[in-house]
Parts: sequence; structure tokens; C-alpha cells
Amino acid sequence: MYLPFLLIYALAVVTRKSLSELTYFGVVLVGLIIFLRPKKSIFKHLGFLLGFEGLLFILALFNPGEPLVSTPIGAITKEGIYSFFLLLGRAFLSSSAVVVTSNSLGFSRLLAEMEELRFPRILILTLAFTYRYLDLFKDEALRMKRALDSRAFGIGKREYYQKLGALLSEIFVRAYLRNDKIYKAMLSRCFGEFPKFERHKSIMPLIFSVIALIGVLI
Amino acid sequence: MIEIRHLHFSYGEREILRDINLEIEKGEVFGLLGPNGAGKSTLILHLNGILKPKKGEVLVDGLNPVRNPREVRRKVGIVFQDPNDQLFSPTVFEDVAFGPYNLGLRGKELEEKVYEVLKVVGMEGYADREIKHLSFGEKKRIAIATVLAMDPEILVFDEPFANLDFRGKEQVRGLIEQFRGEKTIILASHEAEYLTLCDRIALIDRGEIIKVGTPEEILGSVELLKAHNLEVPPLIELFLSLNLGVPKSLEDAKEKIANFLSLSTQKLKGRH
Repeated sequence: MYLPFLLIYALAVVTRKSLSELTYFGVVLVGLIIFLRPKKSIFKHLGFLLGFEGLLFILALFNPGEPLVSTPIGAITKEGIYSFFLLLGRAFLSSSAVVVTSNSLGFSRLLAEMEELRFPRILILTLAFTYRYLDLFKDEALRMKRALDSRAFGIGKREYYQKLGALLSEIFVRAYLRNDKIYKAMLSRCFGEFPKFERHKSIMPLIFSVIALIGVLI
Repeated sequence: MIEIRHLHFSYGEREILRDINLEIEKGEVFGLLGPNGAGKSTLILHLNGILKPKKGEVLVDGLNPVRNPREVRRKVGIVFQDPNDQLFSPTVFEDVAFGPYNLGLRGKELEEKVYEVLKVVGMEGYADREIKHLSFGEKKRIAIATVLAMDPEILVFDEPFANLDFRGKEQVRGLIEQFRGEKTIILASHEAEYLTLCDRIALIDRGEIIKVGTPEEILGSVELLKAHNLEVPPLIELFLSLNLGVPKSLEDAKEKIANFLSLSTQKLKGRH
């Protein structure tokens, strides 16, 4: 099961106090990538993640310490650079492990693992429906926004955002209406119980978990 | 056999279905033709007890869907208009397995059923695909598979050809033809040209059955169709103007044209 591994890995990574310790977990992540062989597009996502998290922690560069470069907003310090990379490393490694695993195995597999770990069924089903319909509503919202943009000329920004707000509330109404249709479709297929998600057995997550635990112990 | 007797249905004050009376024989391909908002989908939802009549009753092989929903839903499989409403699981396998799972199938038996129906709709190899990554046509075929997986005796299609490209329409049409004679098929559509494959058609408008008849009787009444806001396919209009009747399929149309041409040639030769 990959979920316990992800939990151990994330906990291990966020509690590290030095870059050399994080390097070990970086190697584990590379091993995970080599083993799971995710689609190439994943690297684009990881690049975006790195940039986003880099921006989040950019202020850490200005932590008090020995100044290296002075900038109009303050001096970048040696300690600042160290803590920036430490924070970035922790955040990037833990989130990347989740992204790589969910992208390679498929969301359904993670749901099956949650089921096996006895997560509440309602939570699993909510996640399954969210995953299935999120894109659909995103597309619907985009289509509605395009329709708004194509006719929203000559109105002020304030009015535009008011219309955008109304549009978002319309999405909720549509979600409610679709919910009714989905329920009818479920009923017409004798809905009584949701099938259990398919279970997969593999020893590799256990090996990765042990490697992560060894890292913590070392 | 499906019997609908004096069926009335309304949403609050708004009457949607008014005194519907229909009998659909076993093994029949039955069309429900009507413009948008005629009440076709509402009528369909009464066939397996999703909606309850305000007055009147529906009987499926003698069973009332309101009193015996489980038995009737096993018999009547509805393919909804929008496959996004019908396919709610993350993957194809999980969605197709949903119906048979609720009928008690488990393990290998369930797996075999899923792969079998995926093969029937020509979607083998799609079991592990995520539904959100499929095209509309593919989703439509998977939606049909989800219903077939329950082995229904009656297949109901709500606007089966809506939003499909030519290829998609032909594939769905082929699937419907495949089950002709084997299952009772009900097609609800506002597109007259796709109902030529039916044995009988009921014209429905504003919640009332206007006329029930053969495709020739219904689609041949150009004035009737136009009066109920339905498009008369140009090909059918042409055939009717030449007194050739309504063609049932492309093959039938070819045959009718060939006969017409040979008759015309003979007439011309006779004149000379």
C-alpha cells in the first residue's frame, strides 16, 4: 500500500533538519519515480510545483544572519539561503511523492487503499465523486466565463466581477441539478451499495516505507 | 410487455404527462418521437419507477415499478441522454461493475461480466481508463455497457443520437440493430430520421400521445410532424413526394430507388 508509505515519507521529510538528510529522501523520491515510471507530463507539474513552492518560501532568504547580497528589500543571508532550501526541500519532496504516486497509480488505486485502511466510506465516495466531476464543472465554469467575456464589453470592472460572482453561484445550482440526475441514474441501476474499489497487492510500497524509515533512524 | 394506463404526472401545478396510454410488445423496437419538452424523458423515468405517477399506472411484465422497483429496474435498463450523468465512477471498470454489483455479482463473475459487455460495445481495453478522459462518443458507448451489464430485457435510450458525430451515431445505431429481436427497445428522440428503424412510433407532444403508428404512418405525415415542431428529414420528404414510402434503412432506400428507376425506365421505353 502506497498511502502508509506516503504518510511515513512525508512525516520523515518535514521533520528533517539538514539538507544532507533531505538528500537521502530525494534519492528515495528518484527511486520512486524510476519504479513507478509516471507519464512525462508529470515533470511539467513538478516544475510548476517547485516554482510555486519557491515563491512561497522566498521571504526565508532574508532571514537574519551573515549578509551575502544586498537587495532593495533587504539582505539575502547565508542562513536565509540555507533555510530557504530546507523549507523548499521539505515541501517539494513531500508533495512530489504524493503527485508522482497519484499520477502513476491512478486515483482509483489510492481510493482502494483508503478503503483498505478503513477510512470512512462517505469520505472515500465524496473524493471519488469530486475527482470524477471536478473537471466537468471546471469546464462548465470556463465555458460560462467565455460566454460572459464575449458579451461583457462596455461594463465596469465592478459590474464584471458581480456577474462573475453570479456565474459561480450558477455553477452550484447546476451541480445540484446534475446531482439529481446522477442519483436517478444510480437508482435505475439498482443502487443499494457502492462496489468496493479494486484492491492491488504489491510489495514495493513496503520496501519504500522501510527505506524511508531507515532514513529517519539514520 | 409494457402497459401504460391513464398515466398522469406533474411537477407541482405544471402538468407534464396527461392521460398516457400505451402498450409496447415484447421484442418490439418502439420509438417515442416528440419535440423538446414533450415529456419523453419524464415518461421514460416512469418505466422503472424513478418517477411515480400522480394518476394511472405502469406495468412491466405485470409488475408495477413503484411497488417492485428492484425487479423492474433489473428488467428495464435506461441509457440516459447525457453520459456524464450516468457515468459517475472514476474508471470505466468501476462504473460498468456498479449495476451487476448491486445485483449481487462479485469477484471473477463480476469481472467477466464487465469485460464481456465492454467487448459488446467495442470498448475492450478501456476498463482501466478514467472516464473523464474519454470522448463523448466513447462515454456514450460505455453508458450503454453499464446498462447491458445488468442483462435487461428492455433497453430504453433517451436521445441516443444527441451530440454524437456521424460515426458515433452509426455505432449506436449498429448497437441498437444488434439487439433487435433479442430485447425490447425503446428509443426516445426528437430526430425523426433515426426512428425509421422502429417497428412502431408514438408521437408525443405537450405530455399527450398524439398518434401511434408504423414509421410510414407517422413519418409519412409531413403535416403532422411540422404541426408538432418536428423536422421532416429531407430524404424522407423526397421519398414521400415520389410515392416511395419511408425508407427503413440505407439499404432499403437504395432498393426503393433502384425499383423506382427501373420502373421509370420501363415506362419511358414503353412510350417510345
